Amino acid sequence: MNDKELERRLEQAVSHAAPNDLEGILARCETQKGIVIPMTEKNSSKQSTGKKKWMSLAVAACLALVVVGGGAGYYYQSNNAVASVVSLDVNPSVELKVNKNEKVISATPQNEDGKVILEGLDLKGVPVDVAMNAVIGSLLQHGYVDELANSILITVEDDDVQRGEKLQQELTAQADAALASAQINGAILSQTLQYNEELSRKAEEYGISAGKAALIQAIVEGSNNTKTFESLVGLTVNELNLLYSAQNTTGTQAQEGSTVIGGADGPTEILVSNTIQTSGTASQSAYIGADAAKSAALKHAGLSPNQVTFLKAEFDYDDGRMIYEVDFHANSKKYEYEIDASNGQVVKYETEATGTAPSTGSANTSSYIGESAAKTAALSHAGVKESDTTYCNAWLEYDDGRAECYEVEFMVGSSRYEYEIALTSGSVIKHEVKTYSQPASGGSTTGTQAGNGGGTSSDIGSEAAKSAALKDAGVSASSATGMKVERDWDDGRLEYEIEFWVDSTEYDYTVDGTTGAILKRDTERHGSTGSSTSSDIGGDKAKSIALNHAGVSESSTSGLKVQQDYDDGRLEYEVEFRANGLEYEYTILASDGTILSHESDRDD
Amino acid sequence: MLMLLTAQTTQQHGVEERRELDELLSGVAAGNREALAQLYRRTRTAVYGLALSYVKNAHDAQDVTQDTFVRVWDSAYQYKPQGSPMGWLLAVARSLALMKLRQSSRQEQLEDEEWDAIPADSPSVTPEDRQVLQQAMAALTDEERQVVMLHAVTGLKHREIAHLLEMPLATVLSKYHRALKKLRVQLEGDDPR
Repeated sequence: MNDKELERRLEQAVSHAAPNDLEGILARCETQKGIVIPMTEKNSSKQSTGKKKWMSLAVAACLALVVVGGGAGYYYQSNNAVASVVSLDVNPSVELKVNKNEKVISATPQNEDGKVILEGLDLKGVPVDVAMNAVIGSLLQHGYVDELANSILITVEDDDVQRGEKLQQELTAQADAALASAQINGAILSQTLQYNEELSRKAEEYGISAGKAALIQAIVEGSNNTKTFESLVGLTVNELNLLYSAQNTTGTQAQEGSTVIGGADGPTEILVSNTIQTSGTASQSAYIGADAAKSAALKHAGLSPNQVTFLKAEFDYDDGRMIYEVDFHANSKKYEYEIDASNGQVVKYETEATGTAPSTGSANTSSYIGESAAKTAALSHAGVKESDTTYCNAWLEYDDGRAECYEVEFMVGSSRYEYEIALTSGSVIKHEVKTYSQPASGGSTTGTQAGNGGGTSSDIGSEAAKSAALKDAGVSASSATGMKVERDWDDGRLEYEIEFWVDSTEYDYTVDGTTGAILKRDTERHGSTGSSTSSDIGGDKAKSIALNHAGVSESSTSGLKVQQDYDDGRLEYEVEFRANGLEYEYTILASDGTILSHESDRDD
Repeated sequence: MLMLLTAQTTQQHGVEERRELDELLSGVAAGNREALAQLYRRTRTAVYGLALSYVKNAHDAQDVTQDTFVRVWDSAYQYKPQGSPMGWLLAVARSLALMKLRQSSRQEQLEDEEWDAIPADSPSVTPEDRQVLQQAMAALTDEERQVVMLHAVTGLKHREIAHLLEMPLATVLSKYHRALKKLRVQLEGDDPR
């Protein structure tokens, strides 16, 4: 049942259950129209007895206000300087302003749920640890922390880092104890922040606390910016904790030291010591669990656990839902699954053959069209004149020592075009256009000519980036072959993308162009022997292999596309089509028709 | 292109609907009983849905619905046509529902109030209706239920719901998605464990 159907059912149910007593209403209107005092004073049948009670409630509320007001006034005069700001996020968010004696000056709800939590709690003047205890008690009482969602984020904002961290430890211990006494296995995330304008602005924009904004920012950066701040803002702290923990146990991006928030013009704001400490394990009880996700993927692949290796499942958030990413290897293939964390359904899957290796051979370069013709082919495809470009370059691209294609790159305005042109026919194999916000320092996109001026002053240069990658891989420069270095801007950050081979292992690195830090590493071991590329089954045969595998006839497909491609030094066919509401993508080895990878995804 | 057309049609439909509701409210303000009758027929489901999402039982929700239209009869002259007529109507209903809740809490209602959500003797309510309403009452938090009811039953946009419930838009969106997820699990019998 999708969202729309669910809403329709609800709407229908309410409309069936809704009363239809127009007469009763008209009867009351007749007697009351034009009377100034509220109609609830007069009516008999539908009239509840509540007015007097409600009045007395209102009076009580006013009294409470006076008392609180008086109390606040006293503290304001005596001890009103804010030393630290403590915020607590679960889904309710609450902010406590604390003076240097660790007494609460004010307690403010940061959202609607926060109001519920603070209702009836008068925390002014109370020691902050006692206040913390009370707030956690209220969270438990209102059912915001339970077995399904057990994460709490405690953030201390204090310009005195030492004092802030001390308070952070005290409060974490206090929260731990409060949860333990309620027999809840809580998971506490805690951090100390200094005031940060950029972060505060984001927090305000999305109506969340600075603490939650910092946690989201850490996850965004830990994902190498594959996630956006906006996509995560609606998640609860428990969901964020699951994502944060998944990133940090697998070490895709260690969160250590300071987090830098920078724009295109380089790092502008630094969060000092934004190390997020974690204790306990975020609850997965609302989800099927990693084991069930693994089983679902294996079942779909028709494999048993003892037939696969490197089986792992980790949390992720994609397309608006929590998922488990399940990976494993079997039958010389790598399987990648996305399993819906709530119901165990297969959202997406992909398999990739890891068997065949690139072969080396001599190339007959005389039949190649040449760099200049490749450039012309790319420019004509893009409908751009060379004089319109600010930078235009073409070169022979080698992969594992073999000429693979011509690579043509050029810039028009703030758009960067990348083309792959076939060696002999000059046809366009692949093209890509990236438009990005212009970096502050002009002319910094200089393709592979990195380090030769034009870049920002803090550019480490391609050689240093290459060394960083080789050092990380523990490989000497002489043993690496097929070295490719590309300078790139990604989300306003200068990066080097480095690719090389050592024997049959392919290394892929992304290195921060300013600091030399390794942002991403990927190694892929390819099989030992390769097949010759001399034979070619042809596009039609490749198409029928793909259709046959998918179990659909050509007449029932739409958008069928067959493309020849060179990858890893071998000829392949990419076959794409849509059928039965799914989008299929196949990669087929041209020499013998082996399906190297296939993927099917819902055709949205 | 088609999407654009659909969007325009929806927008036009919204504008039209608002104009008509505005006219009905003007009629009510002028003492036109037929205008009130029409307003009631068109909006009673929305008002009842909102009321039910707050008070969680059929009896009180019916009271709130009736009180709302009587209050509208008396105070329609205060409505300014440049606003959102549905938003105004629901704001009246919400304040009456909240008042009803305050009364109920002082009367110390029995715990099983959520099982009284649906009128037992109503012939138009199917077993499926009963199931979906009971789940909406039992499985969702108050705010989740309010957000999802408002979106499903009243046709208010998330932005308008955020305004009505005085919540940030992000909170409304997160509660909405969470609520639908929970409901789906309950109705499709998928035990998340």
